[in-house]
Amino acid sequence: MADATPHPSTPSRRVQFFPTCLVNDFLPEAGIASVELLERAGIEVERPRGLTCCGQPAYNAGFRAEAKRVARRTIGLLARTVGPIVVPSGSCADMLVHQCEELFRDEPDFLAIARAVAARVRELTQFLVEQSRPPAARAAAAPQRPRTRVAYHPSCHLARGLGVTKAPVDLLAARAELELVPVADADECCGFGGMFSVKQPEISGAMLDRKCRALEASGAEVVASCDAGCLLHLAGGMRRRGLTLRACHVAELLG
Amino acid sequence: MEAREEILGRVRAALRTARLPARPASLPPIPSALEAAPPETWRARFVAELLALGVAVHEATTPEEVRELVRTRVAGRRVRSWARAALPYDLGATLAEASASLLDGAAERAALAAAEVGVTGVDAAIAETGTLALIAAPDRPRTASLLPQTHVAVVRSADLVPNLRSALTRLRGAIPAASALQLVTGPSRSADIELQLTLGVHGPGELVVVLGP
Amino acid sequence: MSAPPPALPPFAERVRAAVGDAHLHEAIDRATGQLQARRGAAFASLEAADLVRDHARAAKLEVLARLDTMLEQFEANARANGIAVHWARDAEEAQRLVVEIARAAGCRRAVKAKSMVTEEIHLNAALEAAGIRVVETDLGEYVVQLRADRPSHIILPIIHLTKEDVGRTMEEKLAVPYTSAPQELCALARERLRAEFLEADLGISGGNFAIVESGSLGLVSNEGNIRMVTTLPRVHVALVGIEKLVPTLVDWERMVQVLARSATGQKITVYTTLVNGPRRVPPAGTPAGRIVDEGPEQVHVILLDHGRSATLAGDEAEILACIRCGACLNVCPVFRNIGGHAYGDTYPGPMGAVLTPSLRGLPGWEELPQASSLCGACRDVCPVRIDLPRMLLSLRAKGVERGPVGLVPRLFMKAYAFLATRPRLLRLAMKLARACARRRARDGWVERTPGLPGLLRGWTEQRDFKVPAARTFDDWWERRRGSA
Repeated sequence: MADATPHPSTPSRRVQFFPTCLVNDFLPEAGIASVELLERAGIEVERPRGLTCCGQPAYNAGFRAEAKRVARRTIGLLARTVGPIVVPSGSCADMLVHQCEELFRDEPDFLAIARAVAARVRELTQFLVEQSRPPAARAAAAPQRPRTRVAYHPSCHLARGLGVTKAPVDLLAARAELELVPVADADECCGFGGMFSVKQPEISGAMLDRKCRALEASGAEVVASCDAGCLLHLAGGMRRRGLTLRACHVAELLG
Repeated sequence: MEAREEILGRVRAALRTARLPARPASLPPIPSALEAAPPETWRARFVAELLALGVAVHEATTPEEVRELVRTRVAGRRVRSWARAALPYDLGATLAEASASLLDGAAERAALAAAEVGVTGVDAAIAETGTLALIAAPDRPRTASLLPQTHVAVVRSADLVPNLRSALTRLRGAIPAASALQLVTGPSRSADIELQLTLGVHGPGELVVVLGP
Repeated sequence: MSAPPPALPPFAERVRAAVGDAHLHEAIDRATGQLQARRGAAFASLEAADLVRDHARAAKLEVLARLDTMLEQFEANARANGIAVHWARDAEEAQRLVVEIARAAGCRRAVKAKSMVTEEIHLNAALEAAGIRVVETDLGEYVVQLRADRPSHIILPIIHLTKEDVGRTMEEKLAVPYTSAPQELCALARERLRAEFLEADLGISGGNFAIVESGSLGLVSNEGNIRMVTTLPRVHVALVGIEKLVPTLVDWERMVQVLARSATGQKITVYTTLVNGPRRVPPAGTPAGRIVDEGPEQVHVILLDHGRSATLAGDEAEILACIRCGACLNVCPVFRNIGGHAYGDTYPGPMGAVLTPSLRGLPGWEELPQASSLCGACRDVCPVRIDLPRMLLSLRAKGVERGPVGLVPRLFMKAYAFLATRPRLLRLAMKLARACARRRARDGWVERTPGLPGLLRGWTEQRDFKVPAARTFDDWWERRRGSA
């Protein structure tokens, strides 16, 4: 397996932002919060025009021809830019960093382009911590307000694929108004897995049940994650089960 | 075509298209703190591991003490043991005197099955894991450490080695000539039923180690 | 190639039954949770654990990269030890060889150690058909045999049963008073099986590792039944998949370390046996009274292909490095929810999801690699670092390539690729989707309602569906930047 940790880049002033399809259409607030976070950290954000999807849905389902079409276009658009490519999604970042290596194995010329893009890709929290520029808090929390209890859900592709485990936790823990609460079996997959969630609904649902029970038992008020897929799955699941837990992207809590 | 030729042919053909990950050109050797530690520490580690496994350990400072410890374990019992010449500390005579009956050579199956205590030496004693290495040979019958409910293993200080790979090094000459090498680590156990531990499922339920000078 | 037997219900049905089985859940959850914890502790206490795993992986990859010469060398060295080496292309040939060996030696009663490969080739049924009585001696497999059941985990065959289940089985099948105390149940098994060990004339085992350098067979157990099976009967037959080789005794030592720690959290299994060959006959001229070596008169190793060479030829060759420790099962959230039987074949869990379609062929087994969220927990715990997610994906791609693929998924993916490469059309399509979703939604969420189309139905079965946002990120960005 390729080394998950990319080279820390030299401090950047400008980045390319890839919103990703799920954030764009379902959790735009996460994308907005991400951009504002970057800008408050003194970074200029550009968004290449015409970006859509990384190709993961087709790739995970085994439809490599379709995956190549989508990924090739996305990589092509990103390749025409310079600087770090910041992605508010662990699984999309992993797709670009590791899976495209596999997808374009048999196309050495394009693979070189894909590799060059991959080397620039960073998940949001990974980028922020690498830059050693934790975003300044909007306003200090009033001392007598109780802290919001947050459970961090480590999405699988972020944690295991990219090896990013500390960055989101460190960023959340640095916030005075947040209290990170531990969750039993925190590393266990929530059951989203992309198309797995609809093609194997019983198994996905059983995994979701376990995760919801663990989150509820943790006493958290909010579950935060760096992956829109996990968040939509968790939010929908918690709502279905009548839980009062909110789900939001880590970026929204760091605002 | 013979199965052998066909399978080898298939394998050779497969290797032309096999997707196998690259192997590293070389790897650093695996360190062992215990190997580097003074041999005196191996004894203490060996005992600690045995105790953690639920093995009864009796330490002796003289051969006479060893014989006395073994005597108490075999008194009035039916014993199956290694051949006299293979046992350490001249235990052969002790066994012959103290036991109710002694099988130390070829024996009928029914008699072997009736043995209550098995007595053996060891060919190496592995400190890191509390493992006893026993070569299977004509003078070292396997059933002595297998059939009886109690196995008494007599270990000399000189048998101690730090870990499995050093045991294999020490036994490198003996292994090829033997029909088998048995590594025994604690009493027989099973956790198949609800992961609850039970001892003495097929092999000896009680393992006793007498550790002499 | 072997598609699932007709009697096997469809995968979806097996999954539904398993997910709904609270009893199964409780049992599997408890056991796998404990095993995970033990594995973690065992690796935390292993000196230079990562390096040991690297060495173990390298040894396995070296074997696979030169499997032909390794097999030839193993055969030569094993023969020099007095082991008879046979080759079997498939299950039928392996069964036939065992029966021939048994008949030639006049064996009628066999005792068997736990061996997944013998499950794979349905050996017991073939032996029974040939008039050879076979008794499983691993405690879990013994219970499985009494129940005419199948093992559900490669290390703990009866992980799906409670002690009450076992007690009832023994009461019924062995005509003994009911007890559910594990100690008593084990004592019962010991007594019954001891008699079998002493009477048997044929011992059957698998082989955890076949060591090329020494021409020997490495076997591990905790109960002692493998020692019994390889010592007491006159004839010992071991079935070994061709991928089970390791180059040297030094490599074997590493495998032994990582196998025990990964499987049960032990530093080493209670009995780790190296079988070199049959009992040693004293040379001519040896003085009378010198005892004869104990052990079988004949030792046979059957090297089994049964789909392994075909697997070696492709993208999933790496699965042949598997040492059958079960660690991936214990950590897999899918396995923990559906148990072993739902996988429908010998090998469950992540390794089974790759190995079964590889050995048996993909037709009929396509759902196994689909039943994964690709979380990667399996790859993290694999002692030889097998990249299971990569192979689950390559099998999925193979499934699509070879077909047949349903019309709906194919059209969906074509539509996806079409739209995702045309941002303006995608935007329109999403607006349309949003409008449709809104009509079915309450407070911005589509709940479980009848008559929802395909994917939406699958989603809403288990959770509410969030209606796409009215204002997308792109809308916000373009408004802010004043560009289209």
